[in-house]
Amino acid sequence: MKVILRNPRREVELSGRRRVKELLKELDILPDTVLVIRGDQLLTADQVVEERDEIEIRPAISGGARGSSSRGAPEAPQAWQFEPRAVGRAVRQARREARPE
Amino acid sequence: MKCRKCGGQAVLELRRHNAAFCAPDYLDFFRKQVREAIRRFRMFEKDESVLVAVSGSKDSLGLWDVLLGEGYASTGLYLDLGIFDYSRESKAKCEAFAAARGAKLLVVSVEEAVGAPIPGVQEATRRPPCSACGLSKRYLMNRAALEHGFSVVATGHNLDDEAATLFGSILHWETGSLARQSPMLPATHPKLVRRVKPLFRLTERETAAYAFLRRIDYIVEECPFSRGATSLLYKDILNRLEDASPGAKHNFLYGFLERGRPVFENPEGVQLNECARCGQVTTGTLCAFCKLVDRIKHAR
Repeated sequence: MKVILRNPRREVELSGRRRVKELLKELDILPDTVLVIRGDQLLTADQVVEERDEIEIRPAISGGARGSSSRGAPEAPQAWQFEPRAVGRAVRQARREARPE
Repeated sequence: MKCRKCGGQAVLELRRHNAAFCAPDYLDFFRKQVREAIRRFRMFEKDESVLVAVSGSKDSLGLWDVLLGEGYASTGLYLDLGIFDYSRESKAKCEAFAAARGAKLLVVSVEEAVGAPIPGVQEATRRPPCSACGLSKRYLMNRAALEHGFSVVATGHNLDDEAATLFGSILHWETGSLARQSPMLPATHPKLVRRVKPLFRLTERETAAYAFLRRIDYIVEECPFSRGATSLLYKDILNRLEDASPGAKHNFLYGFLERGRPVFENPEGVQLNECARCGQVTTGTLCAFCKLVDRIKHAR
């Protein structure tokens, strides 16, 4: 299945089929933070994404402002930038697998 | 998964309401929540003209879409922050949205008002521009509403925004903010316009779903300055809590509005003056916006 991620836009190829719930768990994405889109449809947690499908996992969380207390604070660690480490891991893994030997 | 209302195929599950909805019933649910927010907090009357602050986001354009659909006379206000492609794209989306609906859109440039676009403010002050950005937006929204005769400004703040703000205020015990945080801020001075947040009962995922189902073309990319922002940290924490305990976010916010905020309210209120230079409202003699303008001028 082709999974399109945003911010920044990337594509990941994953083999097999999964329920949306399982896919999000695998990518360590909290369900409440995204819309899962297939074509022009929203998918619920129990729906199955087939191997041939192309879906978008669109972040729903927006906005951001540094609180006054964070003035002079060091750069915030990755966890609360736009996505969890597992997504980055999945992207890197997919790129490694796609590289010709 | 079945729609709670009609039994058809559901497109969205709302665990916090123990419900799932098909598309048309979800849109009804969403509008009903907005109507409820407007009614319960007496946000505005049917005959009032509302100025809707739009940024091109799913929240603000979704809000404007709901208000237009409900028959409110609403004009949009876009604040051009001058943030590279982000501003160019978001402005284009607001203009397209307004044109498609025959709605009026006012555009105000932060660069013209403050003397520099937001990236310029960051250069001039050598700090994250978020504080200056928020200050400028609030000031310009108020000024635009006064200049064009609007009695109320509506913004697209959602439940996640409000819960994260509340969380931050409590973490730092900002009692002033805790006394003032509300979905409806009345006009406490002739030069201060009422400010309302009609989407406060709806989470970000819910507003995203509304915008998607209504086929609203909104900007998905984030403001480039928001990377690593503390509000995103707080939202992440609250979403983890929500994942483990659905309803936690709305219980937190609604409980605060009903039982927490009254404890912090200051019965004397705050002394409001008019800025010596621009006449807008301030607790001092020169307002924070005019001070920002001076700082920018001196930095150049």
